[in-house]
Amino acid sequence: MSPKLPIIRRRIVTDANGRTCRIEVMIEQTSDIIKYPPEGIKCVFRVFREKGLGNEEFELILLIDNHEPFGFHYHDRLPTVHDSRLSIHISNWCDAWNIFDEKLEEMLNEKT
Amino acid sequence: MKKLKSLNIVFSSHDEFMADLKDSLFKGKDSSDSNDSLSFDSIETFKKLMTTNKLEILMAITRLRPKSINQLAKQINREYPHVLKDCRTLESLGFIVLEDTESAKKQFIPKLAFEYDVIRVKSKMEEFFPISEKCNKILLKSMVS
Repeated sequence: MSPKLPIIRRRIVTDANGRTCRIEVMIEQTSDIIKYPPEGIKCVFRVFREKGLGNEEFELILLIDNHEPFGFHYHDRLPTVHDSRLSIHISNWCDAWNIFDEKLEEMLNEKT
Repeated sequence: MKKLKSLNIVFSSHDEFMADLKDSLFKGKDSSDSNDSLSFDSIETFKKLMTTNKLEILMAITRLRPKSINQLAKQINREYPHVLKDCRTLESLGFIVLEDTESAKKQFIPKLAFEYDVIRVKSKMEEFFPISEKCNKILLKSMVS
């Protein structure tokens, strides 16, 4: 069954190290089928995390999105490098979600 | 509360949140109301972040319509760096947006993420934080009548 778009979910959690994280899940229909082929569906799955405990300054630590010319890709060197991308060889957002879900679980539970 | 727009603060476990999200993603469950909601893992996380100072900023943004963070700091009589820090946190959490201006000086106009009148905290004991003047007036009216 196709989801009813847009899907926008925002969640604030405390991770295993006591740092606040913001999780964002956005899937929306756009009219731009060139940037978001083949149907114009834009997906953004991302997580921001406090730089330090109680710091309240947030940085992007996980991002999976799907714009051209990369298709679905993972920003593999966050939070330091924002324009480093690793293509994910999948065709739809369902698979992208599964990858995000797995990485999110790791990040929230990893003790440093 | 029908006339008022609320930003709903809801609480759920990670598993509940994920199950609900998966229902929307894979089973087509309608999620239109979630656009006005912010989910927290616990009331402790919410209370740690939503201080009186930050609530005051939200109220000032909607009632005084500051054109910059500098102006906002003056309106609420607080130091600019502290107000900037709180605004950055509120933006990161999704309560406000900081709109970039075209001016030479890098200025940001603080605005609510959407025009909500009240923050509605849906915990066991429901709490309301009036943000707009409209909300205050309605609350006052209901207390008098």
